[in-house]
Amino acid sequence: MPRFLAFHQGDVAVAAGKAKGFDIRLDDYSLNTLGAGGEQFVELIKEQPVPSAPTPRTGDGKPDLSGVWRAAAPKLAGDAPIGEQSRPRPDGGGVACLPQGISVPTVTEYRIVQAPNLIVILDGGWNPARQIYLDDRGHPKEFNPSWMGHSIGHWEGDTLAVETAGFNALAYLVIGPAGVYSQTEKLRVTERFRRLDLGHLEVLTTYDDPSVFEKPFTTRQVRALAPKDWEILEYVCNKNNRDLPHLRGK
Amino acid sequence: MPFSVICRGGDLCRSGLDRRKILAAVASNGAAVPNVPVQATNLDTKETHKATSAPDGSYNLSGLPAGTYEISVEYGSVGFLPFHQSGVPVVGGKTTRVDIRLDVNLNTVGTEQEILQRLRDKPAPSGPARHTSEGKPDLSGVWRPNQAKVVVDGLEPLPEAEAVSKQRGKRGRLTDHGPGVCLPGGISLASRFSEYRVVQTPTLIVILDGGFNPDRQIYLDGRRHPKEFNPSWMGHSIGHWEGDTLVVDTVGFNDLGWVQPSDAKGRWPAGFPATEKLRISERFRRLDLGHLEVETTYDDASEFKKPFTTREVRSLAPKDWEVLEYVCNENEKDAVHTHFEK
Repeated sequence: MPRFLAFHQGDVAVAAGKAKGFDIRLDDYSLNTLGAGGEQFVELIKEQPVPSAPTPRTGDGKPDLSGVWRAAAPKLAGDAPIGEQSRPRPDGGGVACLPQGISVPTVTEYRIVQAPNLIVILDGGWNPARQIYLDDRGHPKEFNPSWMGHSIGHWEGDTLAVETAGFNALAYLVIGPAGVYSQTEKLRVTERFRRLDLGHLEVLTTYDDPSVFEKPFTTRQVRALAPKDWEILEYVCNKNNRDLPHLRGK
Repeated sequence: MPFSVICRGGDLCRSGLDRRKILAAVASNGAAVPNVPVQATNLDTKETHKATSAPDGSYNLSGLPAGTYEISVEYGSVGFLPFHQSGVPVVGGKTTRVDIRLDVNLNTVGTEQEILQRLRDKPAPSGPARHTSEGKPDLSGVWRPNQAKVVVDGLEPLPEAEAVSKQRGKRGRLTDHGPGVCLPGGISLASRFSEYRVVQTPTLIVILDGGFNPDRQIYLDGRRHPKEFNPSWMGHSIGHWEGDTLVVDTVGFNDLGWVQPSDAKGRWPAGFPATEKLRISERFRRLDLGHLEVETTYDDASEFKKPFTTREVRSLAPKDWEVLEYVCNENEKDAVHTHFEK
C-alpha cells in the first residue's frame, strides 16, 4: 500500500462567498527509489487488464498455478487475530536488506514456478525463494529455523494446500490493518492456493501460533495475473544500499 | 594428515620430516593441496625461491643459501587465506621443515572445515538420464560442484585483465569481492563452491543457487533478449534445446562481478573483470542419472583475446541434500573488515 508524506500549507485565504480551488499533491514515501513523484509506483499499483479464461492445467491434470502474480492486500477471512501486537525494530527487515517473511509478499509480485514435485515461489521483493515440496516428504524432525520456513504441499482437488513450519523468530507478521505481530519458532502457516480462473489466484493463509495468538486466524487475498511483459527481476538489496547507516534501532 | 614440503638447508633440498631441517607442510582440512606456489624469501637479501607442491602436497625448495627466510603462499583471493611464516632458519647441511596449513577462506564452515570436508567425495547414483513427460532430458535435481574436474580451455586474458586478476590475488582476502560483502558472486563462481537446484518446466528453468547468487531464470518460451538491459549480476538468460542439450545464452551483465574460471589443476586465478560486454553461453547435458555436464563459454573481447571455455561435471546430490535459504546479511560480521571496489 502506498504511504504518503504529511502535507501542510499555511496561509490559505478563504474569502466569503468565493469558492477556492486547492490541489494537494501527496508524495509517496514508501518506495523512494521509484522517481521523485512516485510515477513508477503509481503505474505499478494501478489496475491492469486481467485476461479471463478457464483455469489452465498442467500435463498431469493439476491446475497450473504458474505465472507472475501481482501483489494484493490481504483481508481477514473471519475473526481478527487476538494477541499482543509487536513493533518491528526500525533497523530490521527490508531496510537492513533482510527478508520480510511470509506475510509480506502482499506488497510484491511473485512468480510461481510449478514442476510436478516442487513448486518454487520467486519473490519480487526482499524474500528468498520458497521451495514447496510436493513429493510427500514430511517436515524434518529438527528445523534449521529460517525466514521462509520449511514448506510441504499436496493437492486437495484443485486446491494446493501448503503447510509451513520451521520459521525463525526474526521476521514479523504484517496482517494488513489487523496489525503487526511477532513471528516465533512455534508459528505454523497453512496456505490454500486456488487459481480461480486464468487471471486470478486466491490465497487463503492461516496463521497458528499459540504463543502469540489466542486462536488461529485466516486472511484471504486474490492476486491478479501480471501483464505478459512483467518479470521478476534480480533483487540485490545490498547493492547501493544507502538506508542502513541512517537507521539504528535499539 | 598435513602434507609436508621439505626444504633442505645448504645447497640442496630433499624431502623428509626431520624437525631439525627446513621443511614445509601445507595442509588444508587434512587434505593434500597440489599446485600451491610456495615462496621462500631471504630476509637479508630479499632473494626469492619458488616451488610448487606435488600431488601429494609435498614440495621441495632447493638450493637455498644459508640465512633466515620467510615462507609464504599467496594463493588467490578466494579459496585459501594467505600463509606467511617468518624467521625460518636455513643452516648449511641441515633440512628444516615448515608445515603450511592453509586455512579455507570461508569462515562459516567450522574451525576445522569439517563441513566442507563432508561435502566432498560423495558417490553419485548411476543409471540412465531421465526425461520429462514432454520427452526432454530432465535436468531437475540438486547438483554438486566438482572443482577437481573442472577443465579450462583457451583462457588468454588481455594484459589489463591479467593485471587486475593479479592485483586481486595479491590482496589475498575477500576485499573487493562481492560475496565478501554479501553481494553475489556471479555465474563463474557457482561452479566453484555451490551446489544448486535446477527446477525445470517446459517454458522456464530456474536455478536456485546454494551460495551467494540470486536465482537465475532461463526463459525457454522463444523470447529474445530485451533491446535494453537492466544490467544484473546473473544477466538475462534465454535457452533452447539442441537434441538432448540445453543451450543457454546470457547477456546483460553488470560490471560488478568477477569472471573466476575454476581450474582442476589447482590454479585458481583470482577474478577477471566482468563487463557489460560479457556474453556467456552454456551447454547443459545430463550425461546419466547422476551427472550433469556444463560447458560454459565466456566471450568478452574487452578482457580476453578470444572466447574460452570451462567444462565441469556436476554430481547429483544425495537424496537428503537441499538447497537451503541463504540470507547473507543475517548476523553478517565480515563487511566491516573489508570494502567493496568495482
